[in-house]
Amino acid sequence: MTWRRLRRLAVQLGPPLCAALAMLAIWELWVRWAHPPRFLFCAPSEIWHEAVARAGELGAATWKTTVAVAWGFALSAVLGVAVAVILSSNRVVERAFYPFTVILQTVPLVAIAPMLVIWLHAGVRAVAICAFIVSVFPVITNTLSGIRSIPHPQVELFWLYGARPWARLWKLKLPGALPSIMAGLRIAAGLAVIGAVVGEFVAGELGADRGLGIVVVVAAKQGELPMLFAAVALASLLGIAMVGGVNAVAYLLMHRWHVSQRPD
Amino acid sequence: MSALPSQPPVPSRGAIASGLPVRVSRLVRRFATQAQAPVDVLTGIDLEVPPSEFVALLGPSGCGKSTLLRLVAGLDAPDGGTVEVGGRPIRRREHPDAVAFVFQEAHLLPWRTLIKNVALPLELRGMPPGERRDRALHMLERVGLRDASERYPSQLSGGMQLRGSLARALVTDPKLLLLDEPFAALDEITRQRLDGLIYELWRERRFTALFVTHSLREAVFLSQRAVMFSRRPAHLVADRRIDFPVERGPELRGLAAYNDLVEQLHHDLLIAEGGS
Repeated sequence: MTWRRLRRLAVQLGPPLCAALAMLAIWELWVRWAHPPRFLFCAPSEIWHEAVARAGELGAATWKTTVAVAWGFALSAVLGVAVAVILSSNRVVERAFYPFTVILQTVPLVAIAPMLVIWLHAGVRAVAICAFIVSVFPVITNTLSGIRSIPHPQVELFWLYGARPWARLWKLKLPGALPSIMAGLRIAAGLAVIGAVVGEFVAGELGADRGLGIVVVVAAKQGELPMLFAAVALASLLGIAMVGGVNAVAYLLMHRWHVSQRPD
Repeated sequence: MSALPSQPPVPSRGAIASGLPVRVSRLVRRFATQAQAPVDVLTGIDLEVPPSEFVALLGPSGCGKSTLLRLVAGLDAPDGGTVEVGGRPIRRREHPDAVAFVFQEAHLLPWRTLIKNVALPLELRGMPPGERRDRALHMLERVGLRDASERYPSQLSGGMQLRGSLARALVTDPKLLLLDEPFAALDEITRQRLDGLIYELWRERRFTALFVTHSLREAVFLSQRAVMFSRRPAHLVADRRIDFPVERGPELRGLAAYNDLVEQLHHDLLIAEGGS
């Protein structure tokens, strides 16, 4: 059993890891042989050395960004699902407010971020709100379409047995929409990282207490290419970890009953 | 003390009439369409069903049988006329336990195990977990699914899922059971088995039953009375008693009287198809 699970893990992780290693190797060899200008490219090994040398600084920045991402994502999950539930409860309410959720999706973050700095001051709170704004829309739309796709007879069944609104929510709407909610959260997890890093460009704290976004900006200005790449790599690792976390939760909640979670 | 339904098994036909009577008078239902005038589906249907009668509703596709059933369940509101169940107009949530509805498909909730699906109606009315578990388990035993109680619907065959939905419908010990072509998608053997099961359950519990079906054989096998509707707008074409001197079982299907009745209903159906 455990052996089979290990094998499945190897089958899943093997190909992407090999692909990544191959690309890194090609990159490294190219830099060593072709000697591109130092201010344009650096080798993976240099990035690695830089990352190890400044591990403390990078670790602190990653932690800072992670906190903002976690808050922003949590807000997206809770408020996104709540808003969708409210919108789904009434057609008029939905028609009145749904267009405004689209605004969240379309207004450029860099335009809102300065306002957030004015209201909240630069820092984790403003950055978390940036992550939230960027990531909440997919949660709302997916949850909404999930609730709407619940088969009508199931809704009628609850009605026939005189289910209270609270029971309808917890025993029908939320579990029925769960596969869609998880799909929305999966998208939101990646977007929250983007929102936080970009948010930090404008609304991040400077100085010693800085997040990955600020590390990126500073490294770019000072031409510290390896540091820039290291920060970007950490941000993408954070994104992968977030999506992996959502996948794990989806598996825990649905593996016994939903087709999306069956091993093929 | 027993957590089981209070109804004792009834040994012989008509011993206890515990079902609710249904009275439909001058029922009108029309559906709005986008482009044209509204479509009249029911234009003044009258139907009286005494307690504990098993009635099959027959007729051409789309004639309004299912609409009638939904109106009786209170899932839809009429444009005119009245539906009375147990002598009172059916209204929202008035008899949540007394009326049960079996849909065309099983519609078990996929995230619940079979037993939790069957216990759902009891859960929604606030019965304590232990008691509803006992009753759900008893009901599952009755439909032959006790061993599958901890499985999820996706792990069950179509026939098992329908038996599960039947158990869910009967777990509250309803006095009126409404069945909307529940077995249309099943193979013939499974269907006959489930018909046999419904018949047994009806003999035990004596609920009133309205059964919409396309199968004349199924109707004759199960019901005491067959009502045939015409094409839209529906009106009654035939209303036949179905009575056999013998117990209904697989051997009934070989009986001459059985086949004669099926033949008669087939004739009625041709008239109904002709419309008016």
